[in-house]
Amino acid sequence: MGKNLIEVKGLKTYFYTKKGVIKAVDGVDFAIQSGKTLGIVGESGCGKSITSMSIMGLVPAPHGKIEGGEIFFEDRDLLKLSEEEMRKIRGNDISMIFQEPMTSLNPVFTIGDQITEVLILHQKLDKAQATKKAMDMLTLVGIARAEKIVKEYPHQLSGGMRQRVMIAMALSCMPKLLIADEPTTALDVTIQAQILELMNGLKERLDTAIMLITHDLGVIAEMADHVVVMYAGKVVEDASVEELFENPKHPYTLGLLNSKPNMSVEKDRLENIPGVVPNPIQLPEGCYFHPRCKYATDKCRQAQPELKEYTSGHKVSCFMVHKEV
Amino acid sequence: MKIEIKKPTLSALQEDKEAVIGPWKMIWIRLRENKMALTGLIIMGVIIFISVFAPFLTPYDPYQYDFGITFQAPSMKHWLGTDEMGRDYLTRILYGGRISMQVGLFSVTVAIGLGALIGGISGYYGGWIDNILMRVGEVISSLPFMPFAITISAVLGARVKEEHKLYLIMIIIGTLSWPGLARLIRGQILSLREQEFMQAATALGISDRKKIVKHLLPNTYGYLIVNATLGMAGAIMSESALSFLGLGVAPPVPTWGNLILYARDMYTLMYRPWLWVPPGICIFLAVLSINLIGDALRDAVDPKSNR
Repeated sequence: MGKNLIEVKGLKTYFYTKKGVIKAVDGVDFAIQSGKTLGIVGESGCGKSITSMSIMGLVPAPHGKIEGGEIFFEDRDLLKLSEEEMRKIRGNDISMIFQEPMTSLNPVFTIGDQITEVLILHQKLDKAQATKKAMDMLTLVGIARAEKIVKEYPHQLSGGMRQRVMIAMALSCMPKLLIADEPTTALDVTIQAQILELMNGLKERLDTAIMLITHDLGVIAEMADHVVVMYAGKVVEDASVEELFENPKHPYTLGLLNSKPNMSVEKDRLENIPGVVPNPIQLPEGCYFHPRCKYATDKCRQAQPELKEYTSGHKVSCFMVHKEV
Repeated sequence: MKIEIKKPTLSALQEDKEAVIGPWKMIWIRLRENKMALTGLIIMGVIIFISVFAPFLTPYDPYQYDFGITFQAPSMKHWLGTDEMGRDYLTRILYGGRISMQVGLFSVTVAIGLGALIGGISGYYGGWIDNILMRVGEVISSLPFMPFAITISAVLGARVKEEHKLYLIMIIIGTLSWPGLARLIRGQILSLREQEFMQAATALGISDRKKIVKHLLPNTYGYLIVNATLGMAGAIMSESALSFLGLGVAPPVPTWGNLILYARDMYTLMYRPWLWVPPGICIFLAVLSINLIGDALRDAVDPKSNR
């Protein structure tokens, strides 16, 4: 086992609203090593994006607040750094690809301006060097005619191109950790495959760790080395990708896997998980998942299960699983 | 069959380059199509030309008096006649244009600078900073402009040297006209800062100052330019009005405003029209052309206008 590049311990990010406290992230632990990909899966609204925002220090103030936990990045606790120190890390050591390529580029600057700005800021390159580097990066992410694209404005590019530009920008400073928040959701399937392949290629070349947030299990199977399944702000299952797909333990993970179409089994309807993610202000008593769980018992309604090791490297938080052992 | 792969030729590349139309070029293209704007640009061009090259266009000195030739009517030697001290009046008007345009430009620069900065800070940080800045702005904009400008000018004017009064006027006009713009910019920034590209900018480690100045304000350039042009017309008018009341730029420094001062004298008003009609026409043309340009710019900058 190598050393962890980033280690998140007991992260708690709460939002204070008029209606009450929303525990968007409630005690999340995970770690990523250099050159590995961690997949974070879950339904909409289960805290995936807020986890990444917390790492970047982008939790929207004043409503959102990190209430507890530690985020160790290269042995430094990111939560204890000053804004100034954090800014040096952002974009340089940790960078992020956003969900919406269509709106994540500033409409009034050319592509070249936007990529070079980061390079000039963090790598202290001069304008000419930065422009050359920007073109190299654009070529690297598979954009032909890079010398022309740098002079274009975002509205002149397609969604796939913009996402590539975002990736080029995120990777231009050779970050140690790349956070990709549903990088392919807004793209069509052929571009999706290209982008994922690109990210995989870059990971091997640059030894970047990737934190991949998605709700697409297909993407996870292809990309991730390790998977964390989140539900209502908590980690419910944490396993290597092979283990998770072969031997899923938490009923929620099972439900997610079952709701994917399968070519080898003939079915009329896809299975789904009944109900929706609970309202984060009024979370149910006991296990957050019990209202939607077909195995729920009285114990599940009263107490919250802990995330415990099931086999080595495979953690689950469910009473049913731990009873077996 | 042999497939030929075309290598991009230089001319093809140059043609390609033209396909990239930046926002500035787009505005220019739209502006060019507007006849009124062109008229405005031409008049403005002439005014700027004569203001800049005034010393080369006239053989006279605007301050050189000659009491032997006071109040002469226009002639071949003095195209617009002479004033009460025998100074060549055309020369006075040319130099007056310089000062008037300077006052316009400088006070607009002050107003735009303050407006953009205060609006930007206000919109970006929000909260109590926003509250304080906007309330200050409201106080300033609730004061009636002319009476207040006259009061400041009268109070401070007494302590300022005559030749520095010019700058006092610029600063008064500038500092009194930022609140409207600041409010406008604040509104824009409020909606812009929630855009994803701003989150992306934060994620790239860009500082607050840079985010406001380099990422947010450029998105409001359209408003700034339109405001600057229209504001300049207003500033020229304000300067004229203040000077006409004797509270602006003081003679002997000529401005279009204090040249019209002659119209206050009944006799001059009736019998020496060359002393007050030309500066009036100059002010009229300058303000008109700026307004034409400003209106056209507003249309050109607005992406929704179909004109």
